[in-house]
Amino acid sequence: MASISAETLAIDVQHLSKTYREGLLFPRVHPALKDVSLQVKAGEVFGLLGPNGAGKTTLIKVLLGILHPTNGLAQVLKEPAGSKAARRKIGYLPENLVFPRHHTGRSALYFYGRLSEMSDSQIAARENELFDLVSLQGRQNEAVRRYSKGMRQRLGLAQAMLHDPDLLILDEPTDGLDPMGRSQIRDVLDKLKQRGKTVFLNSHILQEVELICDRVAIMALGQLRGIGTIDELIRSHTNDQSGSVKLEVLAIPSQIRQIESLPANTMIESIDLGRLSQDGLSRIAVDNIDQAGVDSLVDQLRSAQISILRIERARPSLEQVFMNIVGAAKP
Amino acid sequence: MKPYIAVLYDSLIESIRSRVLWILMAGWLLILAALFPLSISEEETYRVSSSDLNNARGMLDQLAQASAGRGTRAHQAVYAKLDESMQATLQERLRTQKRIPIGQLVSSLNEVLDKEDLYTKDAWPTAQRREELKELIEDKSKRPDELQKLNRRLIDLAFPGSIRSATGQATWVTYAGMKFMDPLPFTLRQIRPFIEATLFPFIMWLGLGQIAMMVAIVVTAPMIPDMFQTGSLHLLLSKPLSRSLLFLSKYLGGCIFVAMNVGVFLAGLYIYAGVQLGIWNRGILWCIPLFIFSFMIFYSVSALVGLIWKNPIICVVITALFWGICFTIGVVRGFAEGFLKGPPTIQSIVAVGDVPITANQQGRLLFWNDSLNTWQVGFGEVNGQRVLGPIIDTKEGLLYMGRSRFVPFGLGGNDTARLDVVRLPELASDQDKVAQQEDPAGKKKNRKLWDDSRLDTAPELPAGTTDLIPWKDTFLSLTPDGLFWFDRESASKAEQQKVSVLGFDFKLPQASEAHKKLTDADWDYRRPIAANAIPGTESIALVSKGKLVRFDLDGKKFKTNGSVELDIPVETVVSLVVCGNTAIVCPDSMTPKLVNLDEMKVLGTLDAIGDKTIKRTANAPDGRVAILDTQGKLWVIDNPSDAPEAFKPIAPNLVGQGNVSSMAFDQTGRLWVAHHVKQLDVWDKDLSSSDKSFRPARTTAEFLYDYIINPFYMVNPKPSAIQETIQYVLKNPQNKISAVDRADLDIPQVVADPWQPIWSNGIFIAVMLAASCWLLYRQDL
Repeated sequence: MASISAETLAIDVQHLSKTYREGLLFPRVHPALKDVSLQVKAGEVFGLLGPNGAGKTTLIKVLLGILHPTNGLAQVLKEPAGSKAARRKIGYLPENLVFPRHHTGRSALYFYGRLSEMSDSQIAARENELFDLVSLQGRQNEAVRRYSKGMRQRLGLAQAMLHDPDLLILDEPTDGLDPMGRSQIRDVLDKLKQRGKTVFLNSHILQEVELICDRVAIMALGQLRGIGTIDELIRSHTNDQSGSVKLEVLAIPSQIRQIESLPANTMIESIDLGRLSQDGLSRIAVDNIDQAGVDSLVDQLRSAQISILRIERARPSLEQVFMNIVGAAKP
Repeated sequence: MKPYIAVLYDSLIESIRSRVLWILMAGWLLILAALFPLSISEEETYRVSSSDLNNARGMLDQLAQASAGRGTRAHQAVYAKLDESMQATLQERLRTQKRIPIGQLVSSLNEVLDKEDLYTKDAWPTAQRREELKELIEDKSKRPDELQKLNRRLIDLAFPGSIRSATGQATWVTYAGMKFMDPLPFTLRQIRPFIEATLFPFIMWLGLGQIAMMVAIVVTAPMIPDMFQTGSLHLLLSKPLSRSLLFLSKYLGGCIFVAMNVGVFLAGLYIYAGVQLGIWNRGILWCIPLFIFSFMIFYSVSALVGLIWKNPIICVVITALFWGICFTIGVVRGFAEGFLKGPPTIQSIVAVGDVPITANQQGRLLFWNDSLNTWQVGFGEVNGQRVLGPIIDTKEGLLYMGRSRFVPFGLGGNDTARLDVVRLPELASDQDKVAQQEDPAGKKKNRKLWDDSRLDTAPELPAGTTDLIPWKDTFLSLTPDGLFWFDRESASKAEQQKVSVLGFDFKLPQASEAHKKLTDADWDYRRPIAANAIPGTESIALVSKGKLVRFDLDGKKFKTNGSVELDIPVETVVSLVVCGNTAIVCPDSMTPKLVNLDEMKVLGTLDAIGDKTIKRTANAPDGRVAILDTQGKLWVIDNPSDAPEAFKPIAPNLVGQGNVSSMAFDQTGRLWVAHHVKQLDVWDKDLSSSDKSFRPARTTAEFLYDYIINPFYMVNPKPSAIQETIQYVLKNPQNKISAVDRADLDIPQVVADPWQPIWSNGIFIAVMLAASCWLLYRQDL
């Protein structure tokens, strides 16, 4: 992994470990983080992925100072993780956010703004913009206990952005949101990115991460299993040379089957195009075929006077990468 | 707004928006609304109430006798004015001993008050000598209220021992203007300390200290655990706040809820007491922070439990358990102290040679047993009685001791007191004999020395006896009806009356002819009253109604020989001791005054002693006097002289100084000092060294108290001790009168520093909060 210049780092985690001890008389040791090192550049949207129990929330808690690390170092915006100076610069949206029942949307925003050392006038200057941004304008004076989960989540995002932090740590920000809400959150994150804010995102929804994040880290069993851009991860965690290939050819399936040395796992199907299929049109799909195999297949099709209309080499998804990494993870 | 202030403000908003708060507030307001019509009113009246009758039976007997033309002319005059049906009832009583309800007597007497011609010179020959009555008698155009006043005074004079002398004021408990029952036998001024020092603290103890405290614990229990809801706590902790300060802010936020409740109730109580009772006591407002502090003790436990288990139910259960433990330890200690420290406390001492005889608060007479190294009870076990005396007649080897019911605040009225006369054994020699016999038989013999066979039943003391004053080998009984001298010879001549029931003989109290009245019929000195003999003379100094009066014995009667106004409220309880020709008058909670008894002139005050309540005094044969205040501090005053500056009280550095319960000088001038419940020291004349000490061996109960209960209590937090601080702040410094009668001075005083519970409980709170902060700092959340 290429090292990143310290000046541009928003988060710098070095060999971080966290071990939980449970039980008073016969304590059981449970390692939650094992020698985790990662760096998040200032201004990037960084996604943290992993299955349940991978250690993602533990890592976030360490960054916020909620947990004390057992070993290693963590710095946030050049301040020790958990220090007051670091927390001043962080906006945090926890998973399953619960607001005290006595608050309205507005009073909650003021309460958390005051806790972030903002004056009431500073909060007043920001509140309308934020309620607009999270689509809660007009609902801000309602009691939060009457808010839907999505509204609470959006209010949580508003309070996280209220003091204009340099780093936003968002734990499952789209949890409970409908597709429209998710889209709005993505827009908000885009705007934050444009303003140079760093976003550290923890999400289960891989497609969303794929859409939003500049870089991604995948954790499993307390260890960091992969980090990089999505392309880098695909390159490093999938075998590009032995992907699948799809071809559309001008021939009927029986013509193609006459070719003797077709790969064993070749799938051939006819494409019914109505009037246009007078000469026959077929689709050929072959899994796990390397470049030499593809070249040989093309040569054989051409030798059989079959015209190749289209050839497509399939690209592995983040999901595949995730499954590969998590599936291969061993304690 | 600072973040921590924001947390507090948020707690305030949370409280205001809580339904529980408004339900509780409504409860408090309902209680206050129900209380508001309750009031105490005072009005001028001379009407008779049943509480005025100290001896209704005696009065009925006297009136019945009057119906047959017997008794005094005053009795007959009153009888003559009763309505016919009452007269008939009294005649019937004379024949058949018929019972007559007190209410009937009271209403009949009240009818007599309105009769215009009750007074006749024949019936009340001394009435004209009283200025107040003289004016009323001579006034021919009396208003109805003046007529009632005159007639009531005449009835008081006619039945001095049976009816309480009218004060002219009646105090009623009223609800919404309606009077309740009979008037109270106190003035509002006398009730006020009771309300402030007893009633209000009790209401607060029960209402706020117990009920509201438990409600507050239940209501606030979820506050800290709620903070630990995952989605809520992590967001708070992500803010630039210190965990400890966040916790402390939440803790104080919980206190805001209680502050609002307590504030509303106590502010309401303050207004109620001021408007309805005329008691504007700022101490009630001071109780607001005290109750919040009291709650903070429990809440500190609840908060720590909330941090550990994060469960409100466990918070309530453990806090209630803590409350129960504190309560149990407090009660056990209170009971133990009540049994071991109060009743056994030595209250009076007489020395027979080297052997002390003491009377304790329980009314027991005790003598020292050297062989057993303990006090032993002699002459019957009489519990819960007030001891008058004892007085010793060394010449005849007799000891006199009165025992009366102990009833505080003068409610005992004119109770009669039993008089015990003990024939003292030859103490020294008997003690020596006993000391040589250490077997159980010896102990038994020792007991026999002091058993009831040495006890003579003597005539009851005159009704309402408050004090016994040594006088001419025996003593004088001081009563609201006058001074009575106990004539032992007539007592011994009187035949003992006996009754037999089921074959057992019971001795009856003898007729009171043995108590010779030495004062005139116009004696009019009501309680509180104090008297003492003037050494070397046949005179008595007496203080009553704010006046010091000197009586000289003229033949067989005491005659007034001058008086001096003391410039103290008439209801002030005083102690009096005479030092040479100077009386030291010690009014309750005031600086003692010096009065020259020859010139009947106030010389000045004993500023060295200051505003104290003196409960006991003692005279030495050499003229010195000792005085003891209710806080257990002893002073000795030497060099009697007329000049006030020559009176230099010293508080000698004696063992037990500050915890002294009684003292006495013996014939040789040695000072016997009882302290720390049952300990006694004998100090030589110049108070420099102790001749002898009496240290009774600990009983098992005392051992348990000293080594287990008390140490456990000391280290245990004491939320209930805040009650002492509350009582202290409720006592109005401008209204210090707490005693209504001299007997009240024997009520044990709280000597502990009233602010001590604040310190001790404050330390507990600090420790609990520090532990919580440490735990929160260390915890992975």
